[in-house]
Parts: sequence; structure tokens; C-alpha cells
Amino acid sequence: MTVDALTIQSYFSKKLGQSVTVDSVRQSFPGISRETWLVKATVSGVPTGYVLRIDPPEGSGGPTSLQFEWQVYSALWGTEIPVAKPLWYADGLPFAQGRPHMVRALVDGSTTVEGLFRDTAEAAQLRRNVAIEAVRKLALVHTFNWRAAALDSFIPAPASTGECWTHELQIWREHWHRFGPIPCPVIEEAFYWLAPLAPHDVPLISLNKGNNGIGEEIWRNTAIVAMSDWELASIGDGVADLFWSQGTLRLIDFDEIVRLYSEATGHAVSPERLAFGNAFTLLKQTICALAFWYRPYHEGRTQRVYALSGRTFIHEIEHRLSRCLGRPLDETWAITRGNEKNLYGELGG
Amino acid sequence: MITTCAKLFSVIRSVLTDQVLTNLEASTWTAANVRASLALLTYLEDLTKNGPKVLLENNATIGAFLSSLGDRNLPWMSAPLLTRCRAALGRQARGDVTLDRLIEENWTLQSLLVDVIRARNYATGAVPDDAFDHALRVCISSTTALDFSITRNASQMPPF
Repeated sequence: MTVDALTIQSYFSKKLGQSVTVDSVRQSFPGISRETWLVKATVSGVPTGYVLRIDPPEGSGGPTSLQFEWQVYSALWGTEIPVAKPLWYADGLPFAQGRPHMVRALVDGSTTVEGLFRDTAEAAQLRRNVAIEAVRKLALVHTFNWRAAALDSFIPAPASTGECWTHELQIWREHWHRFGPIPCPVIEEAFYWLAPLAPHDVPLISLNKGNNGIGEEIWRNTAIVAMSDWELASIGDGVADLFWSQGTLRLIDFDEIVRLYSEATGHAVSPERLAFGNAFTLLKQTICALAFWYRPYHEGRTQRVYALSGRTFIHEIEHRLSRCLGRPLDETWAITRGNEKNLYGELGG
Repeated sequence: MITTCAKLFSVIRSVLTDQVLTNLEASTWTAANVRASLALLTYLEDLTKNGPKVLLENNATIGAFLSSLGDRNLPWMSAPLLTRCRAALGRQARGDVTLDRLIEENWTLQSLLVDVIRARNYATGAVPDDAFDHALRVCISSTTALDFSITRNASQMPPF
């Protein structure tokens, strides 16, 4: 354990200027990009919950800083997008070895939905309700007025709707060239292959959640009560979010998901955008796994098993991406959409 | 050696599966880490069980691709890069190699492919060459499939 109840108690008491007794501390599953600690405490006699998010000792597990994530929470708090109340951000303190950390209010709920993968009629209905809730909340994010919330003051935005995907490709190319730890011909060639295929028929420039769905948001029954883990938030074509949902949007027929999404956003989704978003997400996931999860292990900065398994988890996706290179996008759909399993189901979440 | 490794992997898997996981709640962070460790164990097991594979030795496609580069008369292919490609054909390791050597050999080849791709991508006025692109992509796909010998194992890995 890198932080403990007594350390948190002392730090929170000083920070809040009140008597704090920590009743329980639990690290949340799985914590690949950052550590998340659920803290239940009594503050001046009142039971209170906190979520403490800390960069791992080896540094940020994603392309953005924790301060970036803090800024997203701060910009969204009080808007129609449900997020937990952000309380404070700090780094360079004696607490947690000086690592960047942020504290937000604990929202009652869970990152998983009980019984989701059972083989019963009730579970099938549950899966349906969860998938519909997930796509509607994504549509809410994608139609959010990010300019009014000044999100583009710290998230790079494309200059026009037609440039969403070229902008996205450029950002991830820079990430790879800056942080890629090993030579990877698949990634290099994927950029070359995808660049001329980027669709220009994007109807609106959206705030994107990044990784989303089960395991990311806070669920209460079948409702998302707080959207969490904004480390991959970006501004571009919202369609990208339909392909990194931890399997949540695969719980029901994907055609229905697309129909619901189109209705909720008020914009049709062209097959070209779907196919490109799908292929691009394979590239993005491969880069994330290698450049941000595996790299600290490769450089000897961590021994965490998840860091090394980033190399192994990603191999199937990398292999599928390699089979797509050079093909028309419509042919890549069948190659990349073959596996209906999901990470959290496999890991017992 | 391989028999010993196989036995060791078997014991570790058995302890983690039968004695550790059964005593942990499935949704806990610790249980998830144990399952991730089991996935990693499978990956390492494949490396030893199948024996180390060196890309060039086991993959005729990449050998043929590197051999053909000189015949293609590609204007953006520099003489030093072509020399490195030819040299790679002669540096293949054979027989029993250590894991470190395996990684070094395979990364040398992967790195060479990356340099070829970048030379083409950043060449001023490079004309699209469908035949070359096709050969390169077949080579990449084939290389990725063989990389670290984990294709069979990878097909069992959970995606995102």
C-alpha cells in the first residue's frame, strides 16, 4: 500500500482544517493508468466519502497529466454532464511522496453493475438498459457546449469539423514519436494508411470522453450518476467514443446503438466515420498500451504486473490492426469486430 | 530445461488458481492482479514451450522482403539503409538463443522496418507505390503474427 489510513487522516485534517477520522480506505479496481483510493471518513462528526486519485510512482499512466484531468472535472462540475464534485488538486507535497493527486467527492454507486454477465432473462434486460444508458450519456457529452465551458483552453481542438480526424491523427502521431518505447512497424504504417482515409463529413466537433462505460463511470443500478476517469478526454469526432467502451456498447446489437446515438445527438453517423473510428481506436489503444502502460516497465521504472501485461494484452489488437493495413475500411470491420468479449468481463468485474 | 520450466509454470498456475484465487473475492483489486499475472504466465510459458523464435529464421516473408528491396529501385531508399537491410539478412541467430538475444534480434528487424517506413513517408515527392506498399504490409502482418511467438496466446487475451 503506497498510502495508508493514518497518512490520509493526517493530510486531510490539515487540508480541511477539521477533525478527520478515516474509517476505511480501499484501492479501486483495476487502476491501470492511475491509483484511485476510496476513502470513507468522519469529518467533524459527519460521515463523508472521498475519492483520492494519485499518479503512480512511475508517473502518469496516460498521455495527459493529472492536472489535465482535474481541469476537466472543474470545467464540467455543475453542468448537465454528471461528474463528482472536484475538491482539490496538489502536487509536490510530503503526502504520497510528492506525487500529483486530486480529491473529489465520493458519489454513491459502483464502477461495475452487479449481475451484468449472468445467463438469465433479467441479466439480458439489464445489459440492454446499461448499454442504452451508456450511449445516451455519451451523446450528452458529445452535444455539450465545450466552448462555453472553455475546455478548449487546455484541450487542443480542431479548426473545423472537416479536420477532426486529421487533428486526432496528428496528436497521436506526436504521442507515439515522443513516447513510443519500442520499434513498431504496425503503428508507423497505420498512420500512413489511415491519413488519406480520414472522413471529412463530421457534423459537429464534440467533447470526447475517451475510455468510457463499465469500469469507468459510477453506476447506480442502471444509471450513470457520475462520469469518471477523464484522462483521455479530447475534442473531435464523438464517434471515437463508441469504440472504447470496455464492451458496454457491445452488450446489445451495435446497429441499435448507432440508431440510438444518432437520435440522441440529432446527427446521422456515416459508415465511413464508423469504420474509421473503429480502425483508429485500434491504433490509439495500441499506442496507449505500449507508450503509456508498458513504457515504465520497459525503462525499469516499475515492476507492476499491469505495466508488463500492457505488452501482452495489446498483442491481439496489434495483430488485428496489422491485418487491416492497406484494406478498404469496410473490409476492416469484420477483422476488428470479431471478439465480443470485454476486459472487465474477462477479469471478473 | 524446458521440462523444468513447464513443471514450474504448472505449479505456479496451480497455486494461484486453486489456492489463491479461490480465497479472494472475484471483483477485488488483488484478484484482478492475480488474473493478470496468470495471463502473463501464459505468455511466458509460450515463450519457453515453443522455443524462442527469431523473426528472420522463422519468417520467410520478411527475409524475402528485405532481399527484394535492392531490386525495387526505390528512389527514397538511401544507400546506407539498403546496406543495413542487406546486413540484417546475414545477422540472423540460429539454434538456441537467450531471451535477451531473441529480443535484440527481433527488435533489430522491427527497427529496420520502421526506418524503411519512415524513409518512404518523409521522402520529398515520393510517388505512391502500391506494389511496394502491399509487400511491406504483408511483411508487417506476418512479422506481427510471429513477434515473440505469442499469436496463439494472444488470441485468448481479452480486448478492451
